Amino acid sequence: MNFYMQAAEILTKLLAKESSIKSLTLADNVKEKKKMYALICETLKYKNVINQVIENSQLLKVEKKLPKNIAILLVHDLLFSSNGIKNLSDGPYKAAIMRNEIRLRAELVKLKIKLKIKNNEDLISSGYRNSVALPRYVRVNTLKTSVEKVIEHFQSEGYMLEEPIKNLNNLSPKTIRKDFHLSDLLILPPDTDLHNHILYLSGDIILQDKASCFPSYVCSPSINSYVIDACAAPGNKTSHLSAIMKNSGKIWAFDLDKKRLKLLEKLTQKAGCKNIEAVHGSFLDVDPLDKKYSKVEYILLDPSCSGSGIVNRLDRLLDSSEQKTYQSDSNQKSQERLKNLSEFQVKIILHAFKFPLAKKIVYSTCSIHSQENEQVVKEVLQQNNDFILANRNDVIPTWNRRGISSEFDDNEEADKLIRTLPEDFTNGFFVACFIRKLNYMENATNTINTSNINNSKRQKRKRKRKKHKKVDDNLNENDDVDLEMNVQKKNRYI
Amino acid sequence: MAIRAQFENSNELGVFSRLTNSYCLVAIGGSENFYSVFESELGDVIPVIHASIAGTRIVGRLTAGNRKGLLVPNTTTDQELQHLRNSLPDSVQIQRIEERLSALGNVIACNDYVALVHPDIDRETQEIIRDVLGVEVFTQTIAGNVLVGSYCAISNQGGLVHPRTTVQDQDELSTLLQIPLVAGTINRGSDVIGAGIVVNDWTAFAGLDSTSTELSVVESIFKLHDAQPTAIVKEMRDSLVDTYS
Repeated sequence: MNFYMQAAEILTKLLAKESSIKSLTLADNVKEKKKMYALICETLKYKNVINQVIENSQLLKVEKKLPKNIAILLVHDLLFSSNGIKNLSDGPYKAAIMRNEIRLRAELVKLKIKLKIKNNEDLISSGYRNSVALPRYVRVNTLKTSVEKVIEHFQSEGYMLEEPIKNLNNLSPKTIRKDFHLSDLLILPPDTDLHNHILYLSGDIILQDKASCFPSYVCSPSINSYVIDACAAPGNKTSHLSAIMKNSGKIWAFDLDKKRLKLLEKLTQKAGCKNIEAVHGSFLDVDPLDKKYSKVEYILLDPSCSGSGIVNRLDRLLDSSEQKTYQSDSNQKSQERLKNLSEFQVKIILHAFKFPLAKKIVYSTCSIHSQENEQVVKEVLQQNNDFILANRNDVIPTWNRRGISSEFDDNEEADKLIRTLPEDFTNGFFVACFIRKLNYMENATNTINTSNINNSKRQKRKRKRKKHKKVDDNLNENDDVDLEMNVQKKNRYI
Repeated sequence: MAIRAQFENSNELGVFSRLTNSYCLVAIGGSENFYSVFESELGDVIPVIHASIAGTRIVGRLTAGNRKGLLVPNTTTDQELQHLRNSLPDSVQIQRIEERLSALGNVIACNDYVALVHPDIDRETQEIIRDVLGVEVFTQTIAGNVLVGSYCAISNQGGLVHPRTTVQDQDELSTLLQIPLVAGTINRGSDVIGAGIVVNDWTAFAGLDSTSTELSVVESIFKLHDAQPTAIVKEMRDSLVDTYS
């Protein structure tokens, strides 16, 4: 019965929103992690139905000693699990449920009739069922291996290599394909479990959503350059940067949370990155004129955001029931939160602008609210004279979904931004790329001496070269698990 | 055919008899006239057993059963139980159950596949019902009445329920039972359906007071128009011929 007791504890914590599903079910003290994860997820899917069945059958009135959460779990296994209640022991709780088996089954049938439903699957709350299942994206860590080798490895495991397609609905199982936009990204069908895959464990591949590969890709620092990743943990984007730079130059990875910084160190080490220095502290506290950072040219900003873009099917499970009641009174609260977030985001971008040599600053959020995206961009463009948005040609021109044009006076600005939505088979995401004004630079340099002009021209050339590199050597980051954690933890700062 | 009958000037036939597809219980000590109504209709197909339960003649209200089994209350004497065992076909299980609600006929309504039971019935009893009668058990009320056995009559073909059953409840019930249902009365407006009529898959006996309208409703919902014990064979042959012709 220990298993169910532990599961009940987890459920209690989840319902109190103390932590996330994955962090609880995959914690160290859980013995059978997979089973636990499955049980919790499935139970949450059917939670409303189970509660109703328990209420109708008056189970808790008849069995006074049965705790509610254990009852929910056992009833789930009794009614919806193909193996029935796990035979770990015949504890008193199982006996209590079995005494009421007939009544419980009958209530389920009656409920289904009432809802005019035939299959159990139709009982799952519609919000969950209709949510898009994102494909499993795998970023190949080019520091350790190559795309071809990884594909070969998968093929040797029986995967079929297929042509890249744009519509990723209904991927057939055991297939693998390259991504349409990013060369180092592979796509597997949703629900492919790679957490125990040998390539994942060795750091050859990194599980990372497509959208969160965009910022590093857009940033594409040149080899031997100096880079700051301002809100780095859990380090997927950082290791992607490192791979793009081929382990050269230097990356300072900042994060406020010590624990998550440890995670970053662990993950980037696993990925074989040797040019990363993790720094514990706020990016905002860094003095832009500090000598240490005087050569920094690229800055990656992925600050705290509302996380509204993340298609987290699991957390939606938790929210669905409460949302309706919650929404009305929290509307004001969430507006306030958005306001706080966007103020912070503006601040951090403006801070990044102060670095004297910074020439490219990439700002990203996993939010779909324009308050955190287009409006922030507009705000910082108004407040500074040095930076402008990079042209569409430099920010994944093949990606079709661009910024929301109604937020800007002129369409072109919006065109320079990238947005993703779950319809694009990835999380909701936003990327903006700022570059230092060229003519500003030229003007400034003109007045000083002409050799600097050559400099800026060289820079232009460099950028072109970089573009080429983008096409043939892209690298890495990690996993939507971490993305979720990212948002949650980050939100705590605010 | 639905047949009118009376037990000692009482129209509540369902109180004094229990009819299933494999046996029929009738109260002991009735008039020969009463027995002959049953025996002429059922005599050569299923046994018509003269019985008492706990020394009373209200056998219909105290027992519940279907083709596969018969449940009797714990007040049944050993002698009565032995008599029933001797008279019932071998394929029919009989079980005496310990249940506070001892008028089993009032708290259980069943056909050969589904049983509706009183919401307060014991868990153990529910298990016995499931095992002995081979049915799915559903706690249910009919038009707000907990005495499901009193307020409805069901066979494998159809069912008659309390006249105040809402249309929505009828829909749900009929999906649950997988048979058509109709709300109606028996015995010239009585809503105690279970007491007024006993029914199986090919015949029904209703109280003498039942109007012809009520009887025609009964005949049509229980599909009794030309129903004979052998009708199923004919029906199967017809559909087979249809399929292969």
